[in-house]
Amino acid sequence: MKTILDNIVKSTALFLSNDMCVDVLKIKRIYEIQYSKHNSLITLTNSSKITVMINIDDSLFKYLFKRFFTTVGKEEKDSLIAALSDEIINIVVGLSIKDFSLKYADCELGLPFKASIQKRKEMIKKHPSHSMRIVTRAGNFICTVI
Amino acid sequence: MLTVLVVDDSLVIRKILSELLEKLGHKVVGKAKNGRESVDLYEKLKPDFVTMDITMPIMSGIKALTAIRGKYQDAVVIMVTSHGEEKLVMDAISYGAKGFILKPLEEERIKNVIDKIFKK
Repeated sequence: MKTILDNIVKSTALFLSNDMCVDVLKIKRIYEIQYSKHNSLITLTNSSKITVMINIDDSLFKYLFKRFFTTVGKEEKDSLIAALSDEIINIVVGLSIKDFSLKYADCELGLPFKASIQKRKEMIKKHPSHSMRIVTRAGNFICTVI
Repeated sequence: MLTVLVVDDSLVIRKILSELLEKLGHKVVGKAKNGRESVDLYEKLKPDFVTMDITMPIMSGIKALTAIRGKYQDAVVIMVTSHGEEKLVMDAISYGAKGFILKPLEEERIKNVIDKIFKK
């Protein structure tokens, strides 16, 4: 699980710095998660099934939203806000399994989904997990594997 | 200018890809969020080409590709894919996909794929 998390954090840091032009200041192992309204989960299956969760600070999310979309109509803004974290988890986990699959075994990626804070807390409480915080100039990005 | 049907379950990708295609001078005539919708819309719109995500709920991109190409053998379908989907891309090519666009989406990369297919 730690190897998978390391791969995901690495691809997330590269995505943030190279594609989104946001400086990554620090990457740190954490033991308590700050649950954000900007979140997404995805399952990754190889010999076992793990769930990856991301939580993005509001300030960083606003920055990323502006980087993704140049023009946004009023009628589509809410849907795009809801969809963006799903797209981000798809990108960063997709990039990470490319390396992981080459080194270890083929992985199958599920479709992104959302869960309430309560549900996410329950998942963390019931299952072993590892989390890392990527600190950027615009805010924090937390990656968790469960 | 070519007409395009954009198929992706992600609203974000549908929007970004449509904007990039329009920037390249093409006309997005329809958008579908799964394979089944794409088959219906293809029949209605008969676009010059389709950009098709591989992994989608309800009906996958490969199943939709097979359904469209089964009825319209000249249909031009370009798969949109992420890293880690190489095996699926090979399957799609064997079912008649004309090319593939690798995410993250970049204007130049998309232009090259379309130009190569339509031999500009």
